[in-house]
Amino acid sequence: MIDIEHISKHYVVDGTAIPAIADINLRIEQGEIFGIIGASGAGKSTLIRTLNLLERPDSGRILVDGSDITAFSKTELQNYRRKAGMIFQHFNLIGAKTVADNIRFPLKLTGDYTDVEMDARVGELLELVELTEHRDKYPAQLSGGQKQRVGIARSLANHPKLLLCDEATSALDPQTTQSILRLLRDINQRFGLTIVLITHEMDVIRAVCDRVAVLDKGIVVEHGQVAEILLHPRHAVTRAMVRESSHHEESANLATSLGLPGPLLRLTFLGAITYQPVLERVATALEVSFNILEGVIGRIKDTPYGQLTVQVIGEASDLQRVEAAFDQQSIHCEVL
Amino acid sequence: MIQTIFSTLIAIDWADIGLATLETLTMVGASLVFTVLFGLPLGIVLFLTGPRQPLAHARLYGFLSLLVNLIRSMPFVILLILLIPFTVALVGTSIGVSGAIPPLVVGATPFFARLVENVLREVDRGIIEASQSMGASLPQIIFGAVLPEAFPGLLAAVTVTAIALVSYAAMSGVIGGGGLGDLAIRFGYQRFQTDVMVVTVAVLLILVQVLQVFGDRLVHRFTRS
Repeated sequence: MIDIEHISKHYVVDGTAIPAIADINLRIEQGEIFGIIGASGAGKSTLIRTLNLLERPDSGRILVDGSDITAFSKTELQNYRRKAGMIFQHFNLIGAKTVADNIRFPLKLTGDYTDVEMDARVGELLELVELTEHRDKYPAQLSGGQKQRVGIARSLANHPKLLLCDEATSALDPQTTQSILRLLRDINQRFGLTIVLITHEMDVIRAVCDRVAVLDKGIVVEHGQVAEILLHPRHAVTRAMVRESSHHEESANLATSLGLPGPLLRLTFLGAITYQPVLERVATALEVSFNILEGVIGRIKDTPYGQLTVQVIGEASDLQRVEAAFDQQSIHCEVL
Repeated sequence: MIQTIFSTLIAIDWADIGLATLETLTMVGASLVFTVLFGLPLGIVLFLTGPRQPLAHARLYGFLSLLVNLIRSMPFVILLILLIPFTVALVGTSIGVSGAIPPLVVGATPFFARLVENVLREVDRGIIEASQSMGASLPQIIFGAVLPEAFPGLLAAVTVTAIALVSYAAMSGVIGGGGLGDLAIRFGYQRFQTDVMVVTVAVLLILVQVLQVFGDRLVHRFTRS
């Protein structure tokens, strides 16, 4: 749906050019939730804002359904933006307008609807984000989560095919974050809406994204399926982020810090196998024991996954057999 | 003591005071309308052409800014005198109520425009950005989002300007403008009628107070936080 081709952008600060993003190439598919993760200053905000030209790239093209949006005329750009909603970290609602009028605003802009049609659409959207009873309140009277729901309703008003989320949950507490993420997944599935989101939280990526790109110093260092990136991060930056989100130590440090002699294995489970007693089976079959040192079991979007670091206790020759046994169960096994 | 005050108050020509007050109100009211009419667009242009704003234009902004500063840095009494030919050409006279209105508008418009610029700058940039992301045109952003958002601030700016106009209007009495200032100059100053002077000052004080309280109420009424 979106092809980002060789996008670069720099800012001039005190006469020196500071590159924000450099030669970004990404493809975002129709109907997916695509995450862009990076530390602050990595350029992710600049990148997402080029997708509706709030930031105009210095060079490169952005093809949306085949047309280059950087070449759009003013009117074409306005029409494109009406079909590409955006929500923001600080919501950016109009404080002087009620909830209903905030949602009505993008409808009014098009000039395509009668008052009755707008009222009906506003009602629908309020219901979707569960704010019907707050329709006549002003943003200042709402909680952060409610404000973001207004933001989402507003961004969906003109039936967009693309939704851009600029750190949409970063100002919210964990519980509210979860409810907003659920809402985003819900609208993604219900309307087949393509969602691009940026975040600095791996948990957000894990909860909703299908694919992810990792941005560091303006460059995409790694991108792919979320499970692949999360479970087998290749780049140091990604590894650091994954580790931080799972509160794990660097595995090389683990063995020495625990003073363990035996070989350490990192087992990665993905899918239904996660909930099978695999360790038990292998232990019984091969007459070895496993000492679980570290681990996580959870879900990546809807897929169960687990990752365990275990010490193998047995004969030295057992290691190969253990590896083979895990392989047979389609469990990714890595000797540390 | 009380008797002296009482007899002084009776001796004052209250009809004159009433008439002068009415004239002052007319001058302030009429010039306020024109000031807002000219100052609001000027303030919007200043805002839009300012640095890092949607229509950033260094040269136009620099020129308008200089013009605004030029008029604002001039003492109003001097401006009154400088503008006499302009006023005569415009309304046929440079004295009385109508002769005071053009210089009042010229003096207050840059002041109000600068206030408008500052109020608009205070509007959260995120709101402009959100409107852009919805595909709003520049007029839609200004009239649909920025001005509604800035409305309480604009009301406060109008209040401050109205109060400034009360003092400017009084000053216009020096060159023959009507109203309370004229009364204060002719009776209070030139005829040494201290009582008239005191009453004039009191009426001006009340006028300013009423304007401020009324303005604050309006601002409060339209503030949504």
